[in-house]
Amino acid sequence: MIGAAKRYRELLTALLMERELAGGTLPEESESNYVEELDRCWWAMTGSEQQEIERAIADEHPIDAPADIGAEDVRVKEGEHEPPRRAA
Amino acid sequence: MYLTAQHVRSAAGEDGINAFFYRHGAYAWQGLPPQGIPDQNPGTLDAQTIVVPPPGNRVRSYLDVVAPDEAHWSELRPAFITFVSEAQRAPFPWVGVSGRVFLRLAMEQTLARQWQRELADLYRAVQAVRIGG
Repeated sequence: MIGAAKRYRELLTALLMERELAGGTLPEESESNYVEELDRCWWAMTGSEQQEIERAIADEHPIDAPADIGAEDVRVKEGEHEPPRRAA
Repeated sequence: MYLTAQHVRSAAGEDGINAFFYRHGAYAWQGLPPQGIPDQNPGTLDAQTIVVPPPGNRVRSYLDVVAPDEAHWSELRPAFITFVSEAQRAPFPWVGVSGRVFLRLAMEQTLARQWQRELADLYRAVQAVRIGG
């Protein structure tokens, strides 16, 4: 399957996000749907793609982000047209 | 519509998520939002949920969701999940479009360590402010 490795990573991220939104656990049917598709992608990958994914998951480091995003909030009232933050 | 949730911290150390729901009314579009939305033209503020009163609080993270007013959660949620899954651990901020939904996410380093939990909290805040609006 072309793009199976990329799809596998996307599905895995989506599954983790869905679990988080659901408070930790997904309903069994949703979880099984993800697992089935993850399985399909896994077995469509070459051995080296599988190894690469396993290695990437094991080596995951925090996502790069700035120490400060450089914005502050703004007071806005209902009916106004101002955005709720600006550059600090 | 412009939905945004921002995690803020006051100078006194109060910490919480404020959320805002702006409408664009009859001004609808297909595909990408017109230029200027949301930064120059956020729309008209319809509802807000304030935990830490503005102004002047430091913004620690935010999630922006922009879509035509008539878009339902059945359109927004899959767009959100696609946005997150396609970002694939790129450095913040993340900016993306899925269908006619524009999304943007930024967070500071200390929150990025638990980005999924932070993002879920921001998402729930935008969901709640729209339901309330």
